[in-house]
This record gives sequence, structure tokens and C-alpha cells, in this order.
Amino acid sequence: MPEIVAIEEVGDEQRNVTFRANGIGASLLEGQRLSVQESSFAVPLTPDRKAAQIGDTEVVVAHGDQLGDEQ
Amino acid sequence: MREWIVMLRARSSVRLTGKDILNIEARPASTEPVVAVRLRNAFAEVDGRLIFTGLIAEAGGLAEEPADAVALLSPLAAPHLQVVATAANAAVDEPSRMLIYAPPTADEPGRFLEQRSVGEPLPATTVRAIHVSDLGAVHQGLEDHSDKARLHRSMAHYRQAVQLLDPFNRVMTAQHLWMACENLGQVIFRRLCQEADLPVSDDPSRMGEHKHQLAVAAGFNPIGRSRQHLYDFDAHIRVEHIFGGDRETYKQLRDASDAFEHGYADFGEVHAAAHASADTALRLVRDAILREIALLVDSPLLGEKYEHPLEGWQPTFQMAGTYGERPRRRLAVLLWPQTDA
Repeated sequence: MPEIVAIEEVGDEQRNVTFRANGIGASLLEGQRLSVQESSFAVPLTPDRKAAQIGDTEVVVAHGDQLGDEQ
Repeated sequence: MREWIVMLRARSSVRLTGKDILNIEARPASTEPVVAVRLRNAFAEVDGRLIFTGLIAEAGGLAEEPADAVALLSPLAAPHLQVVATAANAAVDEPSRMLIYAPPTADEPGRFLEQRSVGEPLPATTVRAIHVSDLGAVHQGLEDHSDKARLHRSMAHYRQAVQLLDPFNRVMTAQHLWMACENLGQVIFRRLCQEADLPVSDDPSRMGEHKHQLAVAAGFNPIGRSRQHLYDFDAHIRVEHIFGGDRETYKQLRDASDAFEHGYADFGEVHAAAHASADTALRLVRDAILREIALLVDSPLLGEKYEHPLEGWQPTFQMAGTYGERPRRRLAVLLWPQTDA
């Protein structure tokens, strides 16, 4: 489930936004063994904007049966 | 009667610089029950620091009960949102909160009534700031304009056009851009009447005569009893005064709107026409709105910073990879059935 975990106001036109996502119960492919090769977040940007990524991206995929809650 | 304030709060991709406030106050001689209308930033405190969460449009005035205050004041507060969206060329959502309150007096306690949407969206991840003086010039142009109501409707549609932008779809944006053009075309027609010393009125018959005169003067002559030359003149106004002579973009946007509204083309054609025209039309329609309110050509709002619409969609997460196990619930097979074709 992707989520925004923090927004920090740097100035009128700049903010640092921290995203997080995990794969628990979120995919149509739930129940299968996934190998994630790339991931990204997209946000609205115009040519006058630059997105800076803070820290490294870490994607954690968990299977429903590992959690014991697959329906 | 007592003083009430109606506050509308909306998620927004545009903010006022710093802690600026745009304030429009009634003149002292005014006998209207409205005291003031204003626009300001909304903030939330997170971990001891303020973050911008949206815009607050509010109006204050005299009313008996909260429902009376809403009826009187919310139509005055809400248009702020479409004006700032057009001026800054950035997405502003529909208000998700409404607070109505009357401050306490010597005789009565304060009263309030608040409505909030369930599951409010997160603040915009990307925000563009606008100087209150630049925004004020747009408001002044509107206040001074003889066709203020139509311009507001054009801006209302423009706001929807920007707010409905998403990475993949331009269909609804195109619909609202076309409706903005229809309102704006009427604004321009009335301006042309004034420039030709033809008195502008609400009399459809008189205005029809004016349109005939202007159409003939522009080279659109009637054939028999047909009114086609008037429709052609309407199109001429839009092509020349909104689309700057870009007939191809005009035609694609009109087709995207008309085909979707009247159902004479399939959705793929609507989609294609909307995608081919919407991005160019966004720039042309906004420029035309600002031109009609006589915004000075050196206004920062006409500069590069505001040229591109700042969309307001929620951030999207994407991941790609491989998978190998057979699906237990065969979702993938259900979604993508194999055929013999």
C-alpha cells in the first residue's frame, strides 16, 4: 500500500515529501511470488519543478499466506 | 441578525506566498449585508511545524441562522477558488470542509456548524506560490469588468479542466475547456459590440441583431432565412479571439466535446481528439481569460512560471517485475482471457 509518511515544508514552493510502499495485500497478483525489479512514485510536476528523492527506495513484498490472513 | 463567517477549505496545488491574505472589503457606504470576502492559506501543525494543506475562502456578513449565512455567503467565497486556480494555473479541489460560525457577543454565545468530508485527501505534494498582488490584479480586473459573471463561469470551467488533469486522460478536461470557451465567446461578443458602439443588453432579440451586423461586417453573409452565418460568426470569434487562429486545435476540442456530449463518435475518437487538443487549449483558454480581464501584458501571471498547468492528482506508486507461481485465484486469467484470435 503506497502512502505519504511525511511532508516537510521547506519554503513557499518547495516541500520534501517522503513516500513509503509495501506489498502487503495490495496487488491483483496477491498470492504469487513476485520479484520486483523497479519501482517509482510519480507526482504532478511541471517543467519548473524538480523532484529530489530523499534516501533509498526499499520495496518489501509480503505474501498473504505469510501473514496468515489470505482470504 | 448577527455576523456570521462561512469558511470553505479546499485541497490546493497553489498557495499564497508566505502568510499573505487576499482581502476584499465592502466599502463603508455599502448597504449590502456582506462585510468582507477573503482568501488565505490553510496550515496544519505536524510535529511542531506548519505545512500548507490547502486554501480557505471565506466570507463574512449578516444573517439570522447558519443556513441563511451559507445561502448568502458561500456563493461569494467559493468563486475565489476558481479565480486563484486560473490565475496560478494550478489545481484547486472542491471544498472538503465548511465551517460556519458566529463569534460570541455580549448577549449571545458563539455558534458554529461544521461539515467535513469523510476521508479527506492528503495535501498536494507539489505546490506553486502566487503573490497576492498578482492575484489581486485578476480580482480587480474581474470587479471592473461589465461581464463579470460570464468570466467567473469561464474560470469555473477552467478550474475544473485543470483539476481533472491526470497523467493518462484529457477527456473531461476537454469538456470543461470547451464550456469555458462557450462562456468566453459570449464575453468576447459583447466586447466586440461595445467596440462597435452597439449597446449591450440582455434582450436576446437586440443582441441577435447586433450579432447579425457584426457577422456581416466580418464577411459572414446570410443565405436565405438560415441562421448559419451567426453560428459561423460564433466559431470565428472563438477561433480568432481564443485560439489565436489555431483552427485545428479549435476543431479537435469542439469535436472532443460535442462527440462526447451528443454521442456521435465512439469513445476512442473522443479520447484522441481530447488528447490532441487539450494541452494546447489549456494555454490558449487561460491566456484569453486573462486577456479579457485586461491583465497587463507584463503581469508575472503571463510568464513562464505559470505557463504549464500544475496538476493536482494524488501521487502514484508503480512497480514492475516478474512472477512465476500459478495464481491461486486465477485473477490474471480472469482479467486477461485468452482467445483464439
